[in-house]
Amino acid sequence: MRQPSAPLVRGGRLLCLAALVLLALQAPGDELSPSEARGREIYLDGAAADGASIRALLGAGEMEVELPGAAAACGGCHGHDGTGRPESGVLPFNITWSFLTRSYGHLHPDGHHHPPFDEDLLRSFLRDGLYPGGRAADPWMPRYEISERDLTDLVAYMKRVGEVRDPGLSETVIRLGTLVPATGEAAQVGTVIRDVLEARFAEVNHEGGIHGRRLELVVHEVSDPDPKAVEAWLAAARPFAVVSPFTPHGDLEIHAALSARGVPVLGPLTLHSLRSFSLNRNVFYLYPGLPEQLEALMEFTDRRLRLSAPRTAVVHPEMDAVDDALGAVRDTARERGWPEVRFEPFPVGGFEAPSVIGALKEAAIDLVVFLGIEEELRRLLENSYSAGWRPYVLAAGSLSGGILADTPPALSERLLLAYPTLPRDRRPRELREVSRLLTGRTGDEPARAHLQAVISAYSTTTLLVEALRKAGRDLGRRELVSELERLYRFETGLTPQITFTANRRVGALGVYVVGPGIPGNDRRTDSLARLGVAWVDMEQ
Amino acid sequence: MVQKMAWTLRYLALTLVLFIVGLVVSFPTRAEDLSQKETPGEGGAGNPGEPEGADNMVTRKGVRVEFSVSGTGTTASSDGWKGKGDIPLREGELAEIRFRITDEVSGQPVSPLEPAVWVRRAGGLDGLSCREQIGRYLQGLLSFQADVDLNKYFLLILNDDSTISVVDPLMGVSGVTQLYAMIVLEGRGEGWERSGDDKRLFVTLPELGEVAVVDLDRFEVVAEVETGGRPRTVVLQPDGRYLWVADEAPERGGVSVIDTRFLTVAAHIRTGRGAHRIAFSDDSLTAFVTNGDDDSLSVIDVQKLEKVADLPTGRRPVAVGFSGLRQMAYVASEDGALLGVDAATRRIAIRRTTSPGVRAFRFEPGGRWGFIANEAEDRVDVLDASNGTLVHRIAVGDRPHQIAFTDTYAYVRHLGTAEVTLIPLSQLGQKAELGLQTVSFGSRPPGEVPLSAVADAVSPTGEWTAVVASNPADRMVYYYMEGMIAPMGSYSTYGRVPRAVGVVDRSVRETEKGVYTARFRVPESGDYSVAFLLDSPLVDHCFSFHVAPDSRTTDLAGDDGPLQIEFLTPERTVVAGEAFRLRFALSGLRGGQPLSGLTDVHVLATRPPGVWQHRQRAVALDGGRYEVSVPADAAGAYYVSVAVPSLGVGFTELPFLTFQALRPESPDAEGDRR
Repeated sequence: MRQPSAPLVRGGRLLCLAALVLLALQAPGDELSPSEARGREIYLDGAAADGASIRALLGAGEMEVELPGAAAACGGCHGHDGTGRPESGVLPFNITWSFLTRSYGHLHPDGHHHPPFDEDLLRSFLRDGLYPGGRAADPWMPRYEISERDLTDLVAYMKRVGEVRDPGLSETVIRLGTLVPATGEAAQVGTVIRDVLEARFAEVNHEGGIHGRRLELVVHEVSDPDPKAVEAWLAAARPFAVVSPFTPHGDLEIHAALSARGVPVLGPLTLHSLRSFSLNRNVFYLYPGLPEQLEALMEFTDRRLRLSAPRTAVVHPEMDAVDDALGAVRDTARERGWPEVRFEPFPVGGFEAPSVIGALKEAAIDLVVFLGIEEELRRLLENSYSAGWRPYVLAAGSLSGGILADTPPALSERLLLAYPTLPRDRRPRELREVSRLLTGRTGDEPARAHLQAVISAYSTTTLLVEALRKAGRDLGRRELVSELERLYRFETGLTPQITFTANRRVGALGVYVVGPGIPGNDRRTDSLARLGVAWVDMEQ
Repeated sequence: MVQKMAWTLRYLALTLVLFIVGLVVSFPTRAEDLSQKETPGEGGAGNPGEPEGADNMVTRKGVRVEFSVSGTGTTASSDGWKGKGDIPLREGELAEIRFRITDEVSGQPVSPLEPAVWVRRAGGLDGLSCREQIGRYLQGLLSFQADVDLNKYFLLILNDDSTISVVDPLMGVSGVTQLYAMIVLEGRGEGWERSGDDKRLFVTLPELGEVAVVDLDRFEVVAEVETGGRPRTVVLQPDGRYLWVADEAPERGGVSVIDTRFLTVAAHIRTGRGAHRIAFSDDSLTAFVTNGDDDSLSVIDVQKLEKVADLPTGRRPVAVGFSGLRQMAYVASEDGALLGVDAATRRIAIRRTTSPGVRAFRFEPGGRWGFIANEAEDRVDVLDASNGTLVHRIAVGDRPHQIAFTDTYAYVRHLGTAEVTLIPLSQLGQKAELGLQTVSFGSRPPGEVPLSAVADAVSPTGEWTAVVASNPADRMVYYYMEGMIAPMGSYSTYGRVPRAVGVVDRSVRETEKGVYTARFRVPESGDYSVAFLLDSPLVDHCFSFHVAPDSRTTDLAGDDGPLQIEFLTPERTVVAGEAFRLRFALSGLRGGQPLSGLTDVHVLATRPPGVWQHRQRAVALDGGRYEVSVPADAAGAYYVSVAVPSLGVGFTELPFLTFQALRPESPDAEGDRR
């Protein structure tokens, strides 16, 4: 009789989880006392989890406005690090303790000078809004109705604000993590990624590190895709950020777990949908995911091939992982006013080409979106050719990349593949760098076999290093994210240009559409010489 | 004229708004545009004691703009920037104009914005609508100018002769000269620094052991701080509290620290011998001072104003810069040694070596890239502060000696060539070759005239991507806009040698969140129209205000101006090489009573075609009479005009006088009197 105990087990797991979360919040040497930790909540949220009642008062007399503390939290204006982030050279001020207490006091932009704060003066200022010396503060600075205990905790934290470092950071080290498969075929890809990261980090460290810190790599070999195992690793290893994780099983859950814990994730290797992560601020992708790639193919079909309201079918394996892609195809067709999309699922590993083709031909389908693997795609092309049925076929190059190389032109004439990147993006200098870097590590064979993984890991570290150099010595996860968001048309030398913004988490937001039937705009530079290539920009 | 056209063109190119508004002016389409009240009425906005009416406020496109203007109560007090509150507006005095800009719904301040503002006397607007007025201002028409243009900056030129020229880059004074004012120092200036709000300029006078404090509202010296010694470099610490002055007197080498609140010397700290350069940690808590002859760097605790360490540097440290990004001060020495001193530990953390011959070193504003100018090898090395490595070696022109920055480029100025090398900042750190540009700022190498000051000879203007650069050998100051192949214009320095150049912003700026203010001198009493333009969201509106006549000049005010002039000196010739002594009388226009004791009677003498000019103040005699001696060193015709700013009278408003300086041997030297 196990059932009755299940809730207990669950409760126990939750407790463990909570303990891990707490551990993760505190770096060794950077621990906050309970009072400071509570003060931090008040500082950032204007309230404490245990129910502090704080009111903020703005203005005076009849114009006085009362707000809940949460609407006027210190951190909202003065920043999580207390440095103030002035806008247009004006308020709000730096409120770090060393600034507030400087011996010669403060000279405000309007010429007002007052003596330095001390603990008592800060306490009274927060309540009455009067600077040391008695003058009223700027009207935008609230006065707070706050209990003795809350005030004590808040001031305790204000003495530490800006000092507490994010996990994975010390005076001399930035610790970065990656996740790779422990076993199976995918493990070899993991080894390649790991080699690239180690080699790049060693190189950066050899050149003097970044703002006085070395890069250190911690690798988690994922044998159990359960997010809880990942969380346990996070709590123990405490990486500052995660770089190029490759977790073919459980991408969605693992990325969500990392992001939920505030860990920036750069350049995950994934085929899975990015859309489900679109609200996930901490994950930065190099390339668009499958749904976006299919959307781009459909847009290309519509605009450039001018197919008029094609009858469309999606042929796909029966698996959850393609759900987002299916939704994207359905929605895109609706937006474009095409007939309702027909879905043609097949069991994983059990694609029966003739019967599917028979059904689709009968339904007079013009356009097939195919989500199977390369071998299945080949069968689709061969069988439809022999059945005398010639639809346009759209597929992702990442699922069936090699097909164009060995398929007779007659079969692939109406095939269009989407690639996030092509060999034309790779500059010789960077390719030489990659090859030099991997000398004595990954052998030539694995590096060639998993070139996309090499390129992805290499480019991701390039982005990471650039953002860390720009973020400076006063580093935190927020600073890293904000520098990544400022990358604009950044050349990695191996991928299309990378741009992130506050609302954009896909660096190279576009795909190459490749196919024999495309009027080629640049035939000479591609190894796929007989093919046409078009870039579909998804920024617009 | 070409020069002026270039300026007009530049102004035309300034903003998209110009274009947009230009179109709107031509095709007002909406009823709102047509019915909008455009002509300012009586009863000014914001005058104390008057109820705030709708004239003071406009709500458009979700944005509310509240306008007010008040006097500052300052004409002669030394702290002209401190006046506040409801002080009546008076002609000739400084006024403060304020726009509070808030969101219509939430009432929250809107920030940051860059409003454009023009002030013009209401008379002569000829029924122009507000948009038409703004359109004309934006077109930069010489025939339609604001009395006060609150969208511009002035150039400051540090001359070799104890003066600082203030040049209006757009408009000449009555089309004759672009010289707006002349600041007279007691000695030759060497280094300078502006206060963060652009209200004051501090200038070191090494020969006098003083720092002159210039009020940048009035362009006058308002105080002198005696530091003693030989002050040269002057730097304001980031929080503005102390002004640090390098003292290079051999017997007391160190720094003088001036308290900017009281303009007193708070401390003199002995650091060492030789030339000093000064840098600060970005929290202002640590100062780093090089000692050129002692081969050392002194580290000073700013809170205690005490030296806490002397660190050995390479031979002859020439510069120190602080990278906020790396939290480290880097010191470059002439022998090529480069040291990084950690701000937290105040210890040497990085040692690097470049080639001997280092002349200058400076970080770009982002603190990532440090530029090391090597005079011996005609090269600039670039340091990446993130790892202390030298990432670029860039061949530049002959003897690079100063480096300045805009957002886009590093400007490397040379002593051995008039060409300035532009290094694109965005390409730094990449492995591809840098796309360098060179621009000639004049024809002769600046090094021909050994008069370089410690102050910069190349300075960004702060507007878009433009710089000004002085060339002492050419005696010219050049204006350059990025993207062009050559400077777009130049300014004569009227025979003076320009040693350094800077810019003072006089535009409307945000002084507290959502509040945008500027100061200007009220020309005269009367009604004024204030044209206000915001580009995004597009808000244009004309406010109005009224200035009552000043009691001191009430009975003088007439339709043609407040005063009249009578030239008392009968002579109109002088022998070249002598001074022309001129006496004149000033009196009220209506009553005709003498105006005695005016302290700001300015006299401007020019010799066509405007290449020479001389400014001075007239000495007041009794009975409304004034006297001035105009040096007439060269033969030719001279024009003399008089202005009295406190009465709102400019140089063009009174009759002028002409005299001739004759060669001594000329038979006409004794005759030819008018």
